[in-house]
Amino acid sequence: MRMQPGVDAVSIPAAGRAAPSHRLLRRLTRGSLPYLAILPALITFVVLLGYPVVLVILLSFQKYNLAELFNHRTTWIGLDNYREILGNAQVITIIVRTFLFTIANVALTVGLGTLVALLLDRLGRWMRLLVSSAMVLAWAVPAVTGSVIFQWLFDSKFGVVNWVISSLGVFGDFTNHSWFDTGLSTFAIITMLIVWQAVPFVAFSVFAGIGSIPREEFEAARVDGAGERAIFRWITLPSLAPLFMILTFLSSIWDFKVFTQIWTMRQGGPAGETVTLSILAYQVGIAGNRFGVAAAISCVMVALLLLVLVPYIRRMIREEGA
Amino acid sequence: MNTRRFIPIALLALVGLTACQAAATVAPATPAASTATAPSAPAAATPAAATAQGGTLTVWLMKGSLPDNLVAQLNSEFQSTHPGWTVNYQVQNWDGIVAKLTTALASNNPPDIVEMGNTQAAAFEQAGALMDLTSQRQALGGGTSSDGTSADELWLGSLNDSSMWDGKLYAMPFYAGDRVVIYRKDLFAAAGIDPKTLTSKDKLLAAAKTLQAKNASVKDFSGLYTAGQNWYELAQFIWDEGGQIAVNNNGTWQAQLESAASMKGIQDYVDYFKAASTGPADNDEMNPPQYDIFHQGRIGMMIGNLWEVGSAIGTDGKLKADQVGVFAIPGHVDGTTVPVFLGGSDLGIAANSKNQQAALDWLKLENSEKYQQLSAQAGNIPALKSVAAAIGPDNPNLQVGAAEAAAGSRFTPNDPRWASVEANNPIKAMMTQILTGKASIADAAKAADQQIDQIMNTPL
Repeated sequence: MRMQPGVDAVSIPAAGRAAPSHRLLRRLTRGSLPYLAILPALITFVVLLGYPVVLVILLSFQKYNLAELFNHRTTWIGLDNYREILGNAQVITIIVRTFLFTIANVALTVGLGTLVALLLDRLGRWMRLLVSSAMVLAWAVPAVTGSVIFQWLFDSKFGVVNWVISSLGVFGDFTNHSWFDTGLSTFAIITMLIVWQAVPFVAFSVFAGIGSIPREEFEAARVDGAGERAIFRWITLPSLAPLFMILTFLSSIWDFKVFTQIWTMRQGGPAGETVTLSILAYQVGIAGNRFGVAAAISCVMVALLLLVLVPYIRRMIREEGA
Repeated sequence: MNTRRFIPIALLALVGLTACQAAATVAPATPAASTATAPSAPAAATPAAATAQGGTLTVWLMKGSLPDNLVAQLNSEFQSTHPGWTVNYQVQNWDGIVAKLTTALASNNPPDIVEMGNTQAAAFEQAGALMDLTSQRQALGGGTSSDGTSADELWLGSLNDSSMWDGKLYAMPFYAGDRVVIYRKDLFAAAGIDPKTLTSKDKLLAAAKTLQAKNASVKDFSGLYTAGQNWYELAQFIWDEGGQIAVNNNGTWQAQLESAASMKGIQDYVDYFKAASTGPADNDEMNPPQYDIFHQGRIGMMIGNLWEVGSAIGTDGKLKADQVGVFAIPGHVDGTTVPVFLGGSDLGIAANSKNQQAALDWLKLENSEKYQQLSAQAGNIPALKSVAAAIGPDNPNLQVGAAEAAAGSRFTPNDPRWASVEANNPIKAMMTQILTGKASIADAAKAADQQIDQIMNTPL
């Protein structure tokens, strides 16, 4: 009985009775099938993402302003854009500020997210549903809408927050207190907004992770007399270490390049005190029409990110292979 | 299992994907690095494509500039005098228009005629995106002079300035708008104040305080509402005292906020803010929109654009049209008005346009007395000085605005880099510092000047 090539060849491993051509076909399809499957996605990836990335890298070595755009001129200037950026003391301040902002946001997001996940683990069914729904609602709010809401909450004249604090009476009179007159205060509000929207993702991921740890380990630890903190330190943390690494990793990337919340809140103000690298790229590139310099800023951002995250990736690969 | 090896590579791809989004966000829309072509001639001295052949003329105007029926009338008259031609008229939104114009004008098939805000035009003029109209000034109806102030210059001074770059004309003035004092006629009557007597800053502020006292029962009432970061209003006071925002000395820009005259103007603004206002120190006149607060009955007077009158009256019947009036903003010297911050638009022809002669004819038609008068009836201050001066009492609000504009109008430094200053406005920050008491006028002005100097002197 002749075997059907393709289907039968894959489903019946013992193929000693197959003809040599069928064996070749089987080896080809089994080996190349994964690559064929991802080919459409790969093509889309390369075209839609790869082409602009190559373009940006090339642009960063050109002088490219509006005049060059309209006159279709290509002027190569080597590393001048990079020299202009990295030689500027203000830009160095912005780089440091971006890093500090990222560290603060990531720490708060992962920390609070983990605490909420531990809480979810302890709650009864209905409270868990309530807390989960609240978090999903916060997560679902679009970034711009969230910014508008927080601007109104913290408005100096008409905001609810000032009114509530003043009514409490404990902290004094907060009417007309301006939350947006210093960079630090504005960043605090922005961080609040970002963390509020980022915690649900971390909380649900860690909660799912905790659920995958066998309950017997917790019971055994409690029987041995371990407190909650010890249980977290010696059972939860080691079991979920890869998950925490990935969450920190992803949060770092997102918070390093966050744009929407910072821009909609105060456009990098007051007086440029909340300008991060992504805001700077927008101001130079879109508002200032200096595309070459903005491209260089973007490349610097990617380089900085890779510098910080490569050790992370190597550790992850090492852990996987171990 | 071999597939485990794919996990770190997949993670790397994920890193690449998310990290590279940072790089891809500012990639411009048009391919630039492909070929190093010789620069194309920026603007043809003689218009291409004879009108005899016919075709489609694409015109981009902004939302709210001209009423639809006016444009329809203009287009049908153009089409009847230019057989074979149709006008493709498209209305654009102000939001994101600069980026849209940048990509459209850079393409090989740009719209033939575009409207640009007078503060946006400089960037396009300097970059060679627009056709050189210097030789066409007289034909278009702009007179024979290009200095903006003489009798041979037929267009409004600062609109003419915004249409020029490096001594050449690259656009045609379209229309203007400026600021006036918008006031509640009924509250004035109740307090016994006659707006005709308010001819100086001191008299105005005294009236504001009277209004404030008379309306103390209304919660959060402002006799003269002033938002802390209304830098357009500040600029007017600076100009009134003889100061400037920035001057160009042989190609180098020098910000002038720390000059004695400018600082007097800043002090004037502080006086306005402290006189009779509950406005915020850290926000501008649009956050929250001052015409909304006016509409709610919590404002006696405010300095705003002519178009804010309609929004202040609103459509829900809370305020009637006869309760709201306007008068000119008085200067610090009795009997004068402040030089107003002239907003407005210019019309340009794309340098790459294939229908330049037809476009010129369309512009000529728009600049004719007939259509300038119709534009005035629609509420715009027309670009032609003669038509602006002829606006009569049947349009009282516009008459005030036009008279102010004719008496003296300025706008921002005519330079593409000014857009970067406005994107991260150090003047607004300066005002908040001063009004919250965090810095003296001198210190805050110096800091703002430093920032403006740095941005305005980045090489073009």
